[in-house]
Amino acid sequence: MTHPQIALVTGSRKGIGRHVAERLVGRGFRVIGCSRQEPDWRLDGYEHVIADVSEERDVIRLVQGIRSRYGGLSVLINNAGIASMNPVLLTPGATIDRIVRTNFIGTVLTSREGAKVMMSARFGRIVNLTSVAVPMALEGEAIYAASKSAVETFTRILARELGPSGITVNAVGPPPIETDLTRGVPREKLDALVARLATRRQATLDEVARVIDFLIAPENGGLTGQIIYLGGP
Amino acid sequence: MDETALVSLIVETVEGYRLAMREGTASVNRETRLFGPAGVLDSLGLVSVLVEIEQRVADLGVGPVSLMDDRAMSQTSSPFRTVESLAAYLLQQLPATPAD
Repeated sequence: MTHPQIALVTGSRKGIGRHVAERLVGRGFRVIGCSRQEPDWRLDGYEHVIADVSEERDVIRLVQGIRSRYGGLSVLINNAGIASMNPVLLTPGATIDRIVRTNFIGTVLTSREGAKVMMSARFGRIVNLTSVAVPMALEGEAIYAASKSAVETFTRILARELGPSGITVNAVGPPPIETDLTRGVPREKLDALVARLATRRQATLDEVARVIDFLIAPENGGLTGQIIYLGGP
Repeated sequence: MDETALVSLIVETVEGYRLAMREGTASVNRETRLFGPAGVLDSLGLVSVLVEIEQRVADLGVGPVSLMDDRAMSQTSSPFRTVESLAAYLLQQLPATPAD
């Protein structure tokens, strides 16, 4: 391959997004990441764009910028996500709106714009981040899990719409990992959740990244519309 | 960019897509129905063509256009029914050229 493949990773300032971005750079990809704030890290082969994935104008500007600078996009990792551990009856409307906008609408907008660029090359790999909170129906995470449930349905249907264009769409759902997203969850809650997993332990960033490696491999064009959970929920 | 230039761009894009997909070489003109029972494109073809037109217009530097519309697949009111209706829709989307 003469040119590096181009990958976009949303929510790459920290956590899973940062890890995946760094790993893709290590594998020779040119990686563009985005988040609402500047990251406190830099890397050759990595470029950061300030963008809010829940804002349509930001997403169009982000993806068109990639298209005009690099001429294409091979891989899109929809990682940007927020959570709020709270019983439904105590969750403010503004929080519900924010979670759904970032987790679901952000994934839809970025996929829509990214797929437009991928279509002309008749090749693309889209991986959406979901969570074991969906199959485990975790109390206190109704809004977060519902937003990820929407991401899963979207993944399956988008896979059908984009399949004929050589673009695969899959989702990976990790169990808790030590990230900012889980840092606010009480230890006993995390322990109880982990006890329900087949693996009885939290996942690692590398485990998530390895599933993503598999899903984006060019030779895995027949693998699409799948939701892969880690940990055996 | 005027309506005639937009019609040419649409015709060229539709013909290019049909040729690439080996869907025939029937001539496309401003009256050609793009989708539906008598249309020259299936739903995937329509999406592909619209995405390509969106990008080609952006590449021409005449301003961004957005070919997304809730009526997209309507047999009766879609702005993408025919080459001509699509050109009219595109023309509306383009930023007005400032008068000299």
